[in-house]
Amino acid sequence: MSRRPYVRPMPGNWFMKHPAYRFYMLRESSCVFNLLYCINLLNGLFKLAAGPDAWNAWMTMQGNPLMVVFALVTLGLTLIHTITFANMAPRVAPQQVRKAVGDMPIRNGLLGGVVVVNIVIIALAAMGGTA
Amino acid sequence: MTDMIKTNDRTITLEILRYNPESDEAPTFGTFEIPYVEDWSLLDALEYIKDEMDSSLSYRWSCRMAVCGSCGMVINGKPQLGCETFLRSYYPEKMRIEPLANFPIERDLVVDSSDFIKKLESVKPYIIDAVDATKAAPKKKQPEKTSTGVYKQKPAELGLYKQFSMCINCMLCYSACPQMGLNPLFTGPAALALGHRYNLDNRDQGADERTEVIQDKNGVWSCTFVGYCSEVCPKNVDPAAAINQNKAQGAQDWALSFLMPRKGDK
Repeated sequence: MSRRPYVRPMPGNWFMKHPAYRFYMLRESSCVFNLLYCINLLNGLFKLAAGPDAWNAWMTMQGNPLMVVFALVTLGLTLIHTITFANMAPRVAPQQVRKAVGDMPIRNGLLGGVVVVNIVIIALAAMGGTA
Repeated sequence: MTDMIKTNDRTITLEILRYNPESDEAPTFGTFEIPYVEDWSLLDALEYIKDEMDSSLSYRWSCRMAVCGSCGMVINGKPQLGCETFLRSYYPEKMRIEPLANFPIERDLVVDSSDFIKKLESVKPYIIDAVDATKAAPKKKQPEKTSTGVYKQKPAELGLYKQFSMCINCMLCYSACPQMGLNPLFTGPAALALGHRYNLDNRDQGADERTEVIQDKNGVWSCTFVGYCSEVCPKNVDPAAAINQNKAQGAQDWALSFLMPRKGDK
């Protein structure tokens, strides 16, 4: 009897074939939206330096419904990224640290850090608005 | 067995990917309608088909209790062990059974695992004593030996690597890993987790010898932390954690190599 092993091809759309792969691609796609959002913010910074007219035009553009949708999608994906990052981080920690500390303190520490940083930023923004 | 089957007339449909290397150009699904018995595992069902319906059906099995790792297959899209998958979890829906993904099909549900065995060997999955270590001086403190010549190991030292030593080589993680399909040269989850298991063992001094394979571009750096390997692992080995701990370690070693090119030696 002769051997004739059959190698199945990997379909180009493999990432659509399984829920776990679809979620993985969703998680990874957050970087694309974050990059685009950072470019938008950087552009805003240049407009701020360019003077009040340029800045106001940029601010008006942020109110465009398409930009609002873009900001909301970016926010949603960033939240998915943040939560999956915090869930995965303990598993990347050195085994010695993981065994000594446990998964939950690492995860909760990271999520707690995110909450604190956000409170500080929102507080600064609110104070800036009143000054 | 026959008495048990006579007592009920319910049936369940199994679609099994068949491939006969002597006559088939490509694999095709074969359909089997078999008696539904509530306490049958999929392995029991395959055994029924082989005994009563089609003796040419080929599949691997041995222990029937999730310790040998032989009966890994893809069941309704998820890599699972046939022996711990029960018909009752699917009934009355049909079940679709395929051989493990990312492996060449030898015949029906039997895959060619020789490449996997080579990858397992490549990480030197055994304790390398300081005497036998060929590269660099041992970095870890050599544990004490007992009067009978074996090393002492405390429970905490065992606990450090125990999880990674529970692998049964069922290859479900290789089937779950899309990077494995995209880059067949990838050393893969189980083999890298096994290398990590020995690196974490306090009796072992061979970490430097494994680095070449583990830190290679086809080693841990081929992994993108999809994480599905750990989800399908029947023994909770968490190979994704093993791989990504090595990425962190590799990045740290790389950065330190600029600060301490002689690894702290004078």
